[in-house]
Amino acid sequence: MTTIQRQSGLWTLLLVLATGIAAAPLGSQELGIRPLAGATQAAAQDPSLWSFSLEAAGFGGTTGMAGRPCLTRAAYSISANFALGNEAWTYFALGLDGFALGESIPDPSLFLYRAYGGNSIYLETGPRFGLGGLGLRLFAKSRVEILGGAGIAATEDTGTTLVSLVPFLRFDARLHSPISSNWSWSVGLPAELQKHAAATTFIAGLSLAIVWTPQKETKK
Amino acid sequence: MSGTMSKHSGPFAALLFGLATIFLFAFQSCALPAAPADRYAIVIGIAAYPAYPLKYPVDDANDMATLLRSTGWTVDSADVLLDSVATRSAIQTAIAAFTSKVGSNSSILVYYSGHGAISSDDKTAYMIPYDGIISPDGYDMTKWITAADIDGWLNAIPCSNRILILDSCYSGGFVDTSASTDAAPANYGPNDGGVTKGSISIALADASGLLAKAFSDSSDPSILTISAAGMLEPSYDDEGHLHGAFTYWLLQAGSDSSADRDGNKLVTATEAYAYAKDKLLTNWDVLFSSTPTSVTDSSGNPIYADFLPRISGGSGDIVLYDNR
Repeated sequence: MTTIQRQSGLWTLLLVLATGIAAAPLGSQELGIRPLAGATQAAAQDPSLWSFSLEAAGFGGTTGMAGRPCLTRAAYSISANFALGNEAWTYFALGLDGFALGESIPDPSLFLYRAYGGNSIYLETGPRFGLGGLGLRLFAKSRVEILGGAGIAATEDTGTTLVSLVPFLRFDARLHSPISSNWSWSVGLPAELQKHAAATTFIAGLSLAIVWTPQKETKK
Repeated sequence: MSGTMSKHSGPFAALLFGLATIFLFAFQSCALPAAPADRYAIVIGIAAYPAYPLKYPVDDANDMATLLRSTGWTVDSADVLLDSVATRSAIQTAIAAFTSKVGSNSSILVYYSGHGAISSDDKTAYMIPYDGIISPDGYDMTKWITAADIDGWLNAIPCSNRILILDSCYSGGFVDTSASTDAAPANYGPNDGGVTKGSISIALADASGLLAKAFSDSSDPSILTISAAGMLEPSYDDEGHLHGAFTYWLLQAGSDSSADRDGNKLVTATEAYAYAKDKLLTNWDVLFSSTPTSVTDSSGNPIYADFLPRISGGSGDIVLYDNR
């Protein structure tokens, strides 16, 4: 245990992410490892909480397809999310968003990938981890949420009348920090893998969200 | 509450700043490539057909050649095919001659302004070269050029990018929407069978078809095609602008900075198309959407002169006007 306590914050965070458990906070008189606040054991006793959030995200990424180069592009999205979960797991997060991908930079032959945008719906699920066990005061009330899922978007090629469906996989890691008992905000690292016509696009970015949880969370 | 916010905003702000910095650095290296020299175009304009002459295709072709030359394309004088020169064999020969010019990174473009037609049974669309019309009562359909013909001719050229621009009636029949569905009907207009629908309504109405396309192992059309009109629409000469109604706005896209939506001095084919389409909607279609012309279609229905340009589907785009 002494060894664990000497680890840096990063190693401790990795341990948290890998195992879902955390070392006791620095200065704690307890010995051994205890379940993370809000982990499975506690979660079983907690009522489910639903939350609603509004999120804005900016992305950078690359698009490629057979016979053509991978070219970079930027994107943004504005989304509304409804989530249901307990302190250990997000049962589901349903997102509705409006998004736009700009055209890519051109290759040397002046070929590029067309801009498109539209509306999408996606469903995600994944674990949540409290960070109280890290021993870092700044993150004492923060929580990490790891989400993965899939969605479908109805898109229009920008400036055209061409409509297509774009299936995508989505991954999202979010760090939540409370503002008040009902409000929190989160910063996230969303990433998506989209298939638009013959091309595949990977975008990753940064999101910022304001989250409203109507129920009061149980204090630990 | 404010105290809580300030206490926790430090690491978030640092994280935001760090990620924003990474994001900016990632895109700083995305410099635009230098203009490639090997972009070759053929422009075709046929007004003086032996019968059913048009007014402005030659002006369209000449002005398009000038614009293309000033925006990065090589247009040899021999590749400006006007009136009686623009026979089927001359067009085919000129396209085939690209082969000796291009490299694997080259782009080729064919612009055509002239008559077009569509068969009423199988909806095959045609470009009609000069020798496709013999007299008021005589056509030589063996000279007409189908989408399959020109696709074959262009795809035989070993180059990177191919653009086909058609200002002719029913030219939407040359447009391959690929994995997309066109939200505009083949005959656009409030009196012609519908107007453009939104992406959501199209997605819901054609969900199974679009899903099948979305998950299919499709490839982009090998030719980026822009047509003046839909598959069931005539296109028109514009007496006010002394050009084809569509071509006039396509030419304007080369010099109007608003066509360059992202302001990078590169007007892509899609940007030019979008500009011309929007201008046509607001400057032409509004004048003719509710007033039928004096002619009728084969069923005796009045024809409304509103029409909508179309563009092929797929993910790819090609710079049309390089204004750097």
